[in-house]
Amino acid sequence: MNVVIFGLGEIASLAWHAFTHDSAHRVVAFTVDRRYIVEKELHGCPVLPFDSLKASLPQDGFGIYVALGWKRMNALRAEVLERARAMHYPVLSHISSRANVWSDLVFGENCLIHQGVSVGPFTHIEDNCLIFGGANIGHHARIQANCYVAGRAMVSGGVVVGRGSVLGANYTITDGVRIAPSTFIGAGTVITFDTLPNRVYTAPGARLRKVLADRMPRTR
Amino acid sequence: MESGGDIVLISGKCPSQWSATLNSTPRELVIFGLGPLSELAWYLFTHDSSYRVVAFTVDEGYQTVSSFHGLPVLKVTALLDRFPPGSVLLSVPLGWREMNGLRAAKAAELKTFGYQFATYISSRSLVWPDLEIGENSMVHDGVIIQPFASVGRNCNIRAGAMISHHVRIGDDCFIAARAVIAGYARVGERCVIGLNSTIREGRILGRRCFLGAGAVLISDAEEGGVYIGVPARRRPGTVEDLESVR
Repeated sequence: MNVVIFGLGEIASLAWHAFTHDSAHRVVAFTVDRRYIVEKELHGCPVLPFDSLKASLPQDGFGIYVALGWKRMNALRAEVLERARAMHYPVLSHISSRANVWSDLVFGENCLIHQGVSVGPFTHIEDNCLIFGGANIGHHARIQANCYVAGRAMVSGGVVVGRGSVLGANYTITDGVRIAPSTFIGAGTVITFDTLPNRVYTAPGARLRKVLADRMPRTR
Repeated sequence: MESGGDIVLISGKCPSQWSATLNSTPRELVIFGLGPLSELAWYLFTHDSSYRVVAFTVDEGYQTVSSFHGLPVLKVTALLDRFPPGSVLLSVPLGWREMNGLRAAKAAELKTFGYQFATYISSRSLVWPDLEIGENSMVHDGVIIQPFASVGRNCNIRAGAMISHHVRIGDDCFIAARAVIAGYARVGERCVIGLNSTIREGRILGRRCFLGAGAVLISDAEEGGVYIGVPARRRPGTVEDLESVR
């Protein structure tokens, strides 16, 4: 199928790369709202204004993928997805051929699962979720709509991740925890309890030690 | 979902010859328990092994349903009649409750009846053909076990964990997803190694240690100790005081 990607940022480029090199689809255009168009082309594809997409492309035989990040706690991506649906274009999802998933995985529209992601059995990923490289989604977990899961994030078995949450790189959620809607979890954080909606959780950052690196005692 | 006949692995790297060898003896299999981990084991043995799951078995008083995923659920007494020892292998895929004590005790009890146990190695793990691993252990997808490492019996090594060269994992351990155990570390029997935790090379963990999620262990760990944080420090008390373990 021919694909139109919404967005011009890095996430759109990643989506272009995934669809081009690892799917049976073909990217034929990028699109954004007219006021954001600067260049006429990206990766050799034309950049078309979203409002005249219907006129530029025949309606049959095209699908849309909305390649936006977690701006406004994923609300921007969700809003554009709704507009794309209103245009009656089919919405596509993509799962990397190098992700470990099972063929009966239940996943929604406008999901992109990158390489090295591992998804256990009995897992449900709802619409509009973006899951980056190496993330681990445990068995019986449920990722609700509009979530953003960064690289190497670790969602363990039976966890429910509420709508619109952002899960930072290499963070860890232990078994059976409930992540409330619109929770923001920073990189490297370990969550062992249920979270509150619309709150931010972060791990302590690295500390600068007094000892110089070349004076550190040998550990072995 | 019920038939599972057309479910295939979708993966760039499908069965390695090593795990194919390890999983190759075609036998019938009975899974102990009805919880999520038993359901998970049913799925993995059904879709990613040469074993054929023929029944579930539970203790007296836990037979809440008569069938599960289209297979009979038998009390252990009925199992002995219908699938006597020697006719099937068993899998006891219980979690780390009671510091793995539940799984260890149940496997030991079933062994006294004469049953033997299957070991599962995911076709999507990276292991070597001469891996030493005991019965009733499970190695999930994305796990890396390097040469000269060994794993005891009744161990559950979850997705993405890394067991480096010359590491020795004792019997009845639970290694949670994405834990990293660096070279020649030794993990005693019945330890619980938390999600995404790290053990530095050469460290020695006594029996029944608990290492929390995300902890980084840079020292040795004493028997029965609870270690959490970065770097991991021993919490007052022992694993007996951990509510989640009971």
